[in-house]
Amino acid sequence: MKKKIIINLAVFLIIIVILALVQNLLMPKYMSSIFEGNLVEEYYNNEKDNDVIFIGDCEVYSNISPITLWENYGITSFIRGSAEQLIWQSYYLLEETLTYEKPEVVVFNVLSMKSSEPHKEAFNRLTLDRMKLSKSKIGAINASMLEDEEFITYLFPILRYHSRWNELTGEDFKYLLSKEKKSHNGFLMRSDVKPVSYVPEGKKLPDYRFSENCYNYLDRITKLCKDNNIKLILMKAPSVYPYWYEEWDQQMVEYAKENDLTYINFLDYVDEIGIDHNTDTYDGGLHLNLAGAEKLTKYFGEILSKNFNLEDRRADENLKKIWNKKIDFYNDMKQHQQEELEEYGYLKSYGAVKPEEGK
Amino acid sequence: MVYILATTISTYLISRIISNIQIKQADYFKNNKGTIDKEDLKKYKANMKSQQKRWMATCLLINFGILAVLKYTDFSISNINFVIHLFNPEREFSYLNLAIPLGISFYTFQSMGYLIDIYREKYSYEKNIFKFGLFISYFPQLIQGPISRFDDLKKTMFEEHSYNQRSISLGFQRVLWGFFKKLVIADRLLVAVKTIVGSPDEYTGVYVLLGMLFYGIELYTDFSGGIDITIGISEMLGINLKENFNRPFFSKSIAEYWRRWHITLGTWFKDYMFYPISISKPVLKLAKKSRERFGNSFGKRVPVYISTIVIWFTTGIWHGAAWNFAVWGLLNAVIILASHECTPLYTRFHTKFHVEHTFSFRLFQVARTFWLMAFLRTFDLYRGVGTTFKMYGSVFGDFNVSELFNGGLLNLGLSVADYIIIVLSVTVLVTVSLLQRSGGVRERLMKKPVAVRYCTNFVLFLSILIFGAYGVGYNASQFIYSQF
Amino acid sequence: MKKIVVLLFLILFIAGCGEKNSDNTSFQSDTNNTSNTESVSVSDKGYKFEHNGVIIKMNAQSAPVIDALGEPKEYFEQASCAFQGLDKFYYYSSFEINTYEINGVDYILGVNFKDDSISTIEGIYIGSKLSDVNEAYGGDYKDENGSRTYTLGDTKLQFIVENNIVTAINYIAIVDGN
Repeated sequence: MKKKIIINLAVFLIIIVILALVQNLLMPKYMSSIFEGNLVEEYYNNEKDNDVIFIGDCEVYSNISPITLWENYGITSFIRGSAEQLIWQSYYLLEETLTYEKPEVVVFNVLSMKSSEPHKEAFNRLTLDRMKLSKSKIGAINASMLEDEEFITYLFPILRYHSRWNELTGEDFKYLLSKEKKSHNGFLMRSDVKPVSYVPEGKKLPDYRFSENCYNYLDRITKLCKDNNIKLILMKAPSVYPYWYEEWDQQMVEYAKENDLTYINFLDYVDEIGIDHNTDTYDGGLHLNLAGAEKLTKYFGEILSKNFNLEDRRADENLKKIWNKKIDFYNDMKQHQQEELEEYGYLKSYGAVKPEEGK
Repeated sequence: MVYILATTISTYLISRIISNIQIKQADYFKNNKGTIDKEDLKKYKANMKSQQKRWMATCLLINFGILAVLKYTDFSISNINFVIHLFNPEREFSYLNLAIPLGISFYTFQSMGYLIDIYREKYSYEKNIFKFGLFISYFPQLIQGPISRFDDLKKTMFEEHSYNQRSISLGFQRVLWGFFKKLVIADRLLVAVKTIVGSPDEYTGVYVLLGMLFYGIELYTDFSGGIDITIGISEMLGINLKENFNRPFFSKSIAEYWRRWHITLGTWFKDYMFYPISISKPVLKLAKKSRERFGNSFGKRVPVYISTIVIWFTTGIWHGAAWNFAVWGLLNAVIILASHECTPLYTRFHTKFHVEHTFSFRLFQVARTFWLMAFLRTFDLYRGVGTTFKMYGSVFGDFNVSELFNGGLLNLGLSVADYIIIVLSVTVLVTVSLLQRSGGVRERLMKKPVAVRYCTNFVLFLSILIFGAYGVGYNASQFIYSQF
Repeated sequence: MKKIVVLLFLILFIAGCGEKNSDNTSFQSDTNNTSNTESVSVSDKGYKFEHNGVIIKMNAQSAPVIDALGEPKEYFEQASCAFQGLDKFYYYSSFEINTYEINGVDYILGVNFKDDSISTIEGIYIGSKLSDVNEAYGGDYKDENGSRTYTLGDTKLQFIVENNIVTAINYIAIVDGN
């Protein structure tokens, strides 16, 4: 009788393992393109000892370099960003992060205030698929699902990705069990340059007020930080586009005042930061490239270290060891990107698009 | 919900009444044995019979009435409107859009079969209204059948105790097999079928043939897969339902096909409509008159022909409230009768050519039946009678066979990989069907070591999980969009 | 034991009773949707914009339109995050056209008026009165937060209205996911 139970249990376990492997095989790996898919996941293996946590969309993961922050100010940080991260996703990611650690400061990029509703399933997947199962993940899924999405496909992604069976490539097998690191504490490095050519004006909107839904979540983020004694900073990255309306800026200024928060619109300090629209962006001004990110980070770091009493921890031996490794990885990638730029003219293996002739 | 309660209650009550009349009758005979004269006996019997008939008719009227109103009102209205439009294009009656309860065609037939059986004194009525209610509403059957007979179901539901490890295993396997047929084959082919049917102006000629082929396979795998799931679940509960399919595509003639496809519907019509009609007084009278007028050979055909045509018309509109279904039904009748008439011709052919038992001739018969049924089924495929005839025309008029080789197959929403899966899974299906002819496959698997069974089940499960045509990307309308 | 299970089924069924509009006996019940899907492609039904003789339809391929209109004054590309397609903006002197990309081909997503030197085919321009809009387009609109939107086919025509005067005009294509 006992033998039967053991055999049954063993069979059951084997079935579970095989199913888990098959599911992992069919899920996209994001190792050769769309690196954004790795950002959420890379947090878990990281040391949970961050002074600052950044949350938000591509304006955080492209424009801030945690390595630079460490090298210049001894501040540890991690960027929990993802592609087109919506504010409720930011909230739940923050909630989840706080179950692992309690940073001193949380920085939230407020661009996502303009998105009151979920927009595209693909972005939901990039942010949610690799979150570890938790109450926060469930909350995030429910808040993010589009009408024709189903919860069970988030619980068992194999139900969503099973039809990838005929799109499997070597990459899917190679990275079945473990993946390569692609970000630097959540920062995606792009060393290429595409200068700003034309700055589009904002088109007139019928209504500038941010939605109730977004304000609700902003309130929740504010409360979450207050309850945990964390200082919340609202930021707006210095991107040329999407257009950041004066009316939107005003609302954030007011919100910050009402809630005793710091709000920094870096668009106002472009000159002081030293951003050069000819050299510091890789996509015509939507995002800063490596050079621009380092400039912005140095400027921001000054504020963080002076105004927020963040200790310089470069003397800590343990941290030094850990971060030296990160610095090496950072510099290696920097070099590799330089080499690719020299050889191909564009960042071939970093998701850049080959520039068309004559454009 | 109300409707099924109405059917349950009315049938239960009335069958009880009828049974009671029969019991009264039996008692009367017992008590008065030998003391009544023949005349009175006959009168009494006739009286009892007519009482029973009236009750039965009432019940039939109520229940078929409900079915007719819910299902066919809008159809009738559209026909009435058609006639009215001929006179006055502005006027028309509006449609009622009545909601049709789940499985009404199935449970109505099932309960009316029970009623008629009671009337025929086949078995005694079910005293327990809950048991009876369960018989009517046993939900796995409601969706697609099979249509059960009360005595079969009663035995297996309430009396036999075959709920055990073995039946659970077998049942589970059958459920998996059903899902395999439905999700991997049927739902995949459905994408192509919907594309072809969605733009009949674009997909003409050889695409119509492709549509027929795909639809035949799709309908079979979808329907029989669903039945497998129903029978499998029931088996796991220890309830044994009757089979509804018997490898119909191996049939060699249309008559045989209808003994092997949707079996329970066919037998229901045979038992409850065909015989009653052919031995009913008006039909017999007509037959007699025809025999006198037109001779014996004509006369003896009359009951059969009338019954056949009525049955097939009914079968047609049972499938749907539209003319294309009626036409489909009638065409089936025509072909069945015609091929029956041709029997002497066939016999002559076979005595001359001695090919009847050769493998190639049998293969020819199978192929012929398959395509014959596929052509007939086209009325089910395209919505209207006119469209169907137009598509028939294009099969012979449009010579675009070359499109098959020019990547036309890839314009239907299926990729090369999809076709590979279809071919492989249909091969598995055919293999299993061939194996089944010499004994149940599941039973044979039971004899193999446990590991083999577990592996087979697991592989089946994985195939469904990975290759099933469900979720994002299998919506044909999405495909049509991305074509633009 | 079995009876209980079977009776349970009955209860489950009663509890989850549903009404289905089809009998599932044939294929027809599913085909209701497919015959209407051609509306997702470029239909002739929809608000069109016309400039210098060039007709601009929403969801149409943009390449021929841009060719016909000539070289734009300014051009701007926006790759959305994680490169899910490239949105392009073409700026002409009084309006701008933006596009979306599917499988390497660009389709017109919208046209936005920049000044009052151009008007819609129905005669409305920036500065028109709201009453003119009503007259031109009728009563089937949706009012939301200071804008009035008319929907026709696969297009939306949005008028931003302040103090009963039109201050902005936008054509918007209706696309899956928009």
